[in-house]
Amino acid sequence: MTPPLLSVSNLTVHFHTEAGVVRALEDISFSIAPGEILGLVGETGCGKSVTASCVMRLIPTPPGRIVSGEILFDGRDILSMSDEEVRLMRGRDMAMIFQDPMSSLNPVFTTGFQVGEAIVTHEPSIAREPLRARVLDLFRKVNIADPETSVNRYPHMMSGGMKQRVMIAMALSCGPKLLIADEPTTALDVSIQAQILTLIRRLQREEGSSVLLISHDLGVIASMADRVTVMYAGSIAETARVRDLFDDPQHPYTRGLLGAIPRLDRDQGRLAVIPGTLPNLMNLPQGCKFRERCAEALPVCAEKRPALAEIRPGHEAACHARTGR
Amino acid sequence: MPVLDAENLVKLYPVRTGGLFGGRKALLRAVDGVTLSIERGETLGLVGESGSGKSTVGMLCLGLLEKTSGTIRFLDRPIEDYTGDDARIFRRKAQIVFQNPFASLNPRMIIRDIIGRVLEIHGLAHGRDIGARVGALMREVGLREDQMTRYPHEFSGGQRQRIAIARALASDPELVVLDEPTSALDVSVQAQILNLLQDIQAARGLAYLFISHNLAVIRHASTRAAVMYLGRLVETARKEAIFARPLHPYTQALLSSVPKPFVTDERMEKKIIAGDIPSPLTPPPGCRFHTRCRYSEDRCTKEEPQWREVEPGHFAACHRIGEIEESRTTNPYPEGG
Repeated sequence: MTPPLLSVSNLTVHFHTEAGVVRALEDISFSIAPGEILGLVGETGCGKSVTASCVMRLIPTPPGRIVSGEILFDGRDILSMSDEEVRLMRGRDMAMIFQDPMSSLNPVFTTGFQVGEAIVTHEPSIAREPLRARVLDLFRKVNIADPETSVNRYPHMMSGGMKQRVMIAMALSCGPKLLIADEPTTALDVSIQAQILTLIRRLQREEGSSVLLISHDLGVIASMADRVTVMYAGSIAETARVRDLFDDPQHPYTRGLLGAIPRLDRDQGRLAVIPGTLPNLMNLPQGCKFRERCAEALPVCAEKRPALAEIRPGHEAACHARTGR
Repeated sequence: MPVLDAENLVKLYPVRTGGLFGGRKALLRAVDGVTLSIERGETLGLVGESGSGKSTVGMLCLGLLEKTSGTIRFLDRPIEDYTGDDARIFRRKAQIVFQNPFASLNPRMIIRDIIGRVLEIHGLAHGRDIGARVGALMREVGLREDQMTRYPHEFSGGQRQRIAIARALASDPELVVLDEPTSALDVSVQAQILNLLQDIQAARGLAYLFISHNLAVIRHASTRAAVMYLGRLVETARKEAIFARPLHPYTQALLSSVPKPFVTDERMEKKIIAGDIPSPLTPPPGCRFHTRCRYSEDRCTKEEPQWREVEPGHFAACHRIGEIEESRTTNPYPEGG
């Protein structure tokens, strides 16, 4: 087996606020193999974006504090890197696409300039003409019509889908090994979403890069990911190959989520509902965080927080009812 | 008798384009000839992408925006006829729930006043009765009565949407426009709200105009569905028909663009709609979808397709219905991305 490109082990992150300590991440472990798309799925506040920020070392400290854990990227320990090393790594070795292309681009510079700037940051000695050629090439790669004109356009002259293509061009500019896509299509219409997802997958295949795809949309995850990690209230509930996760989900939370989605392919009289609400991350219950909403809870669930354990090869869940404690 | 009956609705916005000072005058055709009706106890799902005009239709139907032309009949009376004291009847009988419950509730008012104000304005309850009525409404939407002295910020997004629903129900409406009521919510909360809306409709016999960009939500929540594109209806039918056998190429392509929450061997690449949504300022001539339609031919670029009943109760506007149906399963969309 090839070693993973990214491996996160036992990552715990707290945010210290005036109201108290928010336990944003608790003992998170996962890995991404070279050329793999890992889907990270969960509802608001589950910690999926905080996880991505940790990998990019974008957590503001304070108020954030990485309490424990290790993040190895390509054999290097991200958490012990100097700021300069991190700066060189970002953009070159790993890059990020954000949810909102409207607010991620600078309105006062042309899109071509902004993509070029990303290249110059990592290759300060590049000459003007090769730089222009590189930018045009990137615009072509992400299927922006008429690249020669488009590089001179400002963000407001482009549609949301086109701006997201510019963001992707910028992310790919230095050929990163890992692409982190945080809800890359959430702000887009369905027809544009389909285009962008197809583009991300095509480029991922061509470049052989790994992708950490963060989404709240189980449909996006199912159609894109090789493996999926489901998060709940700062913990990982389940990790599995995409087909295993959707065909035979193990964690009661994953099952609940899948039952709650309205489906296009069949009639549902009533939607299955997960009762109750999310626990407060400042005041987490003892035992399993999902226990109060779980129909399968056992006495042990009130006492001990379940650890992620293998249920079958490649399929892990953190559930006492599944692992026989 | 339908609760709401809108015919040939048009809403144009005069805008200025180009140039910092002055510029050209142009008309933005936000809604351009929409006809729909909703019966008691029925949910009409209105689905479309950004700029399709779906929310504008909702606002027009409630008289919150003034239509440019067309007729809207509410309970068999044109809405212009609801004047003077009758205006209040219309306001009482036609209500709305907005998308964002963080913006639609006044943060300085407690829940009892947010809901109670509606009762007061319409003279439906006085003095001490108000508290009792508000309590009953809160129970109806699954909240506890003792929470009525709290402020909106003390509630979660799902609970706030329940409050917004209770406020809409307070005036005992016949029609509720639901404008993306679950789009700001997580899936598990969305399921709770969709079930609640279903229960309320069953108990009260309400008519819903359910506006959403989410096709799966529309399929789940609607009795009939209408698909909009750039200010026009492209197709409407009972939901069984429209989702099982969509006739219009746009509906077909939209349905196959939605990522499904299960793993298939089908590749999404094969079916995506190419290109961007054109600007409603300069809608394409002929069929508005022709710039992105893979079945488009010469006629589609010139003549506007007729709105016609293709099958009983199943309407669509496309020149090539009948010709394209057979090729639908075999002819893939060109590779895009």
